[in-house]
Amino acid sequence: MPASDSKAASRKRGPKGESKYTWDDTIAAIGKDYSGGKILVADETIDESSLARYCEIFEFGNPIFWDDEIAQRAGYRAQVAPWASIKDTFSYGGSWRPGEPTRFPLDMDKDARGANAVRVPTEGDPPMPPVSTTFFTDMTIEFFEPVCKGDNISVMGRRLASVSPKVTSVGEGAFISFASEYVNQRGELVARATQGSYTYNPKKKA
Amino acid sequence: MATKYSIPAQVYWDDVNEGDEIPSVDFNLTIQRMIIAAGGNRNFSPLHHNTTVGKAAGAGDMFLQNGSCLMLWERVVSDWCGIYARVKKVTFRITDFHNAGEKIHVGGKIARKYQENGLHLVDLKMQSDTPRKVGMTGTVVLALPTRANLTGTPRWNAQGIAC
Repeated sequence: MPASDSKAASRKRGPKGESKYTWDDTIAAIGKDYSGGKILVADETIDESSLARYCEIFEFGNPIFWDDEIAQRAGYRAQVAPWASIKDTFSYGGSWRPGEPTRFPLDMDKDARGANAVRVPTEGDPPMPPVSTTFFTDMTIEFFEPVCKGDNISVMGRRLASVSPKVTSVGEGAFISFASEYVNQRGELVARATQGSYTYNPKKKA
Repeated sequence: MATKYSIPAQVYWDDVNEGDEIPSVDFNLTIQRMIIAAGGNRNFSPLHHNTTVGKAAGAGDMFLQNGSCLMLWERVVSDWCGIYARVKKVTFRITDFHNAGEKIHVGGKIARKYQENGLHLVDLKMQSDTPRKVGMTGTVVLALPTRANLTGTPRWNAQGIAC
């Protein structure tokens, strides 16, 4: 699949699931991969400007983020990319390519918001009962090889890591997590992230 | 040799203790900062830059995306630890919206000091407070240099073993 098609497919979000499935079917799928075997290569090779723009936001002052010489003194190849940037900024796959429709239709509503982000290679979802809403709950990220200026990150895998059906104050559904790996241009593992979410049907208002 | 930026004080594993608090930071979430954060994280969902959409989702306003919430912790930890320390693992859970117009207080405490797989580690119990309640909790596992190897930035392999 061409990279642009892969990205377009990754952007399809919204209600999911089918009535023929139960959460037991979802639990049975733990360990399976839902990335389609695709690898999402980040658009951006990390450079001095992108590091500065990132570090300015919350005023990161540690000089390993700003100065090659100090970073090298500390044993790095070059300026260091903050660890919080790996999962989002420097693994971003881009948002639009020639031939794709506009991302900015005037009638776009809040339900279209998921179409704006490409973060993890995605092909399909585990079997699950119909659900309409999903929100982020928790995340664990382990870091390995440092990420520095000049690196280009790729994201691979979307393995179903856990499923816990639960009725909560906001609705009925399940806590689900997926695991992905992040590698640099040399194929070295730089991070492994497991992201949890609650996918559910909201309670009907009385 | 002179450098463009000053090198901050270094924290060594030998010198810290369980129960030690690390310096906290207050973050003002102005609308301008929210917009810059959305761009900085390449996360352009209107939840993070549009008041109407944020409120429709149950928040008080546009709110920080999880990666931006994590940045607050990185600022606090990297301000404190020096240039020879490295974060090994982070686990976090968001418990309240970090809304535009609010001040978020972030602090941490050394919950555990230990050695594992040749690394000298501390678990920092981190907490972000919104004006209403605890907004994010979790743990940052930090590998520190030791007095025996003052400039030895910790490294580990894919199995988490020092190398």
